[in-house]
Amino acid sequence: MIEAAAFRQDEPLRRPLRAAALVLVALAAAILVAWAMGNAWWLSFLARVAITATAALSLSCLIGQAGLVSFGHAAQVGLGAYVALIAGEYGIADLTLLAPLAFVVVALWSAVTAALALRTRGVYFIMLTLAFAQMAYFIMQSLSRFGGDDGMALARRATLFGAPVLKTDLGLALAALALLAAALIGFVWMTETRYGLVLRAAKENESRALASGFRVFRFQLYAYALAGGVAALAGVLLANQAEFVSPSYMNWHRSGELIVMVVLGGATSLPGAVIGAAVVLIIEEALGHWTEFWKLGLGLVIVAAVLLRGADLSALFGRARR
Amino acid sequence: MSEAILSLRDLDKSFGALRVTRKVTLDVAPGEVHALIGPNGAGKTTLISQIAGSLKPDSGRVIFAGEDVTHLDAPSRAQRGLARVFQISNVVDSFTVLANVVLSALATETTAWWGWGVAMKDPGLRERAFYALDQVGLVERAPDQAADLSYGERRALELAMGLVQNPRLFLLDEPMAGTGREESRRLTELLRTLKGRTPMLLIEHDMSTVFALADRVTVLVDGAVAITGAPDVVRADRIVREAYLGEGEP
Amino acid sequence: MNASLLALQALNGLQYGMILFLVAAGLTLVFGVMDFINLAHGVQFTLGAYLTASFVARFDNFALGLAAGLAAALALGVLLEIAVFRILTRRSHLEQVLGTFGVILVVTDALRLVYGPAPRSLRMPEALSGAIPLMDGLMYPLWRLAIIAAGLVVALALWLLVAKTRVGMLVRAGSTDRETVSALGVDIERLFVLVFVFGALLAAFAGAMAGPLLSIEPTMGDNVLILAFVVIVIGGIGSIRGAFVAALLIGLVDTLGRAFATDVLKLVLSNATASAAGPAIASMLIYVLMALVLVARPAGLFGGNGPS
Repeated sequence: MIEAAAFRQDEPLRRPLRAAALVLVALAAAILVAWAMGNAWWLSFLARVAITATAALSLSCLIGQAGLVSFGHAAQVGLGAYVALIAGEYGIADLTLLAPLAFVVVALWSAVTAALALRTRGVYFIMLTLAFAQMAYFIMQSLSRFGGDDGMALARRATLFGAPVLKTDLGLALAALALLAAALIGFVWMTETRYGLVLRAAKENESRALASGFRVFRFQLYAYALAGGVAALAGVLLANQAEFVSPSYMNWHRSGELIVMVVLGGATSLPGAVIGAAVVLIIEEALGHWTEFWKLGLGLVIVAAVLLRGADLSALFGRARR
Repeated sequence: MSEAILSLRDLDKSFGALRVTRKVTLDVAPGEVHALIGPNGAGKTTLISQIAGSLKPDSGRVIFAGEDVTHLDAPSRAQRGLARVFQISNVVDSFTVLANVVLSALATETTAWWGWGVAMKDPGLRERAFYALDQVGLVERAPDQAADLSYGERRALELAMGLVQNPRLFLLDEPMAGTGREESRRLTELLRTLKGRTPMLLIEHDMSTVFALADRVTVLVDGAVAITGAPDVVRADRIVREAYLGEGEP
Repeated sequence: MNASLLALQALNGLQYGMILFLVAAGLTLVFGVMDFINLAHGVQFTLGAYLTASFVARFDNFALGLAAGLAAALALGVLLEIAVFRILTRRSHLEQVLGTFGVILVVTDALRLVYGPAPRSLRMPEALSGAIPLMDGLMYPLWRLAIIAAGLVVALALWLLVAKTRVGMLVRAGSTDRETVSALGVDIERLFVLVFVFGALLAAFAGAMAGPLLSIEPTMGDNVLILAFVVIVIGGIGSIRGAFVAALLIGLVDTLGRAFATDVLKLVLSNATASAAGPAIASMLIYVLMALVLVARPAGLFGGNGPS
């Protein structure tokens, strides 16, 4: 009787996965072209796009899927970078050890801070995430053994099973692309699992989720920890690219820029966060090319985008917002 | 009467100086439809919130299926079989009708929240969801967005979300509010078919519904229980007529 | 660590707290009444300092320069209100965060463009540039005392305004029940503008007062802004009283922490460890304080209607 009910089979994953594949293929193609042309600047720029996009993506998971507006996500990236730096000082520079270490350390930090921040809602939550990010910033700033305010050079670039895969620009770009691909497909998939369904329901209607029997707090805590861990992996790659780590990675302006990327790409679209990250970095580079006051231009773009409600680039690409 | 499915003992709750629940003691028997009526501001929804666990009483106890749940939160009580239908429809608007029911079905599968599979393609969950939708007559609407439903359909969806959890008690906060006459009739019919299977605590303003469905009626006035009894007894009670049915002394 | 040093640092903390209060008062009112997160509130602080500095240099008179600087900062604030904030007040918190963040970027770089990247200084008025003996072995700068006095006067005036006047009544009502206030026939938009202008003025005033103590640069508002947010979150959003108490608390804890954390730690730890950990702990102190307050009271110390 039930099976007889005519009902179109919904394919919830097809569209976002196709968008994700499109974004990833485009980035991969750009990396290969830059490599074939031997353009080191482009190659390293594209690696930066992939790394930043991974960070933005993890924040997009929080904002767009879980409804948790974190204003301190750059701290998670920065802490990941610091794990790479400090572990490197103690001779740990192989990704087999370094990556899980960074993930776990930062996921734990995220979980502990989220356990406090999630007691509040709305603006209080936003401000608490900012405050915890500032706390992390000042802790790192005061670690004079690891460069203090000035920052410190990385001991050496990380290896994978002893192989120096991050040594060349191409290797780094490909590693960044691989991380981005894993994160993007993973997050898109996650939104359609049972866990993702509850997370999205709680974002839109928390009292419903509670009344149905879901402990929303836990679901959100896990999301926050997971996003922090992924951001930390991006931080490890960032540290390797710059071969340098400083507290400025955790500056609250960077957290603000990550939010800009997420929202410009369409807050509820995960592939959109990647596009948003690319667009913001391109604007920065393009403006920075002919004026040192590029933040003025970026700021105007942001204000205009918000005021004109055009704050959704993915619409331009003809993609529905899921 | 066998042991009650829900027992309230001396529940008390104040907001500041305002005492909204006064020493409420109440039993809902297994299989019973128990109506809760009273004038506006009598504290009916506040009482439901304390039963559901979204509000903590200042004192008193809530015993559900023989277990003291006074100190459990709302999710824990829902998992023990308390299903609540809100006064103002409370569904996830951006989800499809089916997704709303699947979501609700998930909540009672406590061991299986962490699957890797795509939730909406899970055959077991779908089957349960469709079964519940069929009971409330919403199968046709399954692929539509919840936001597009009519008022009455939303109430029916909420009932389906409760039904899919196989609740041991339904808390219904004015299920007929805002529905048209036809929808109201259908909902009453639906509740009648559920009667005897799932006990209900029903808040309702529409007296014809109350007297058609309820086995017993409790009248709440100023946060306190004025009387509990069979519908006919309550209808005949002088205090009730004065306080609630609006028939003061001539 | 002796008594006069402790008194000195306590006064510094008080002075710092007053600056924070002046910034936080506007922020908490704007948020409480309009439900508007204004990250760009710190911009008013920076504008106040820059504009006052440049007018004081031009007129060679502090009072005149202050008046002109505040007027100019206010004009720019009103311009921003009309062009940007008015639209943002009707948007989601996320869009407000984003839009006002954009404003920060614009104003910060615009200031760099106009005034150059080099820090500027603001000369304090001759009459208040000295120091007076407060107790044995403690000379205290007059200017800092002036800041404390100004903060107290503003706090008192604000309290009278909010508690005793019709406008204050509307502000209090507006923050809890917008519909009722509209129903009373009050133009809520005008009330918003009034509150916003008032808050912007206080922040600009704070910038001008703090100017002589700081090096004036485009990002000077950032730190103050974040601390002001810490203040209003601890105090409870919308509460002037909460902002006052929390501002003084933050000012004292931060200043005393930075001054004495290392010394206190040396009582229990080795010198080297204490010297390493002291500054870190001192700079974390206020954030730890905020976390503790919010764990105990999620809506802040004086937050009546907590987050739902």
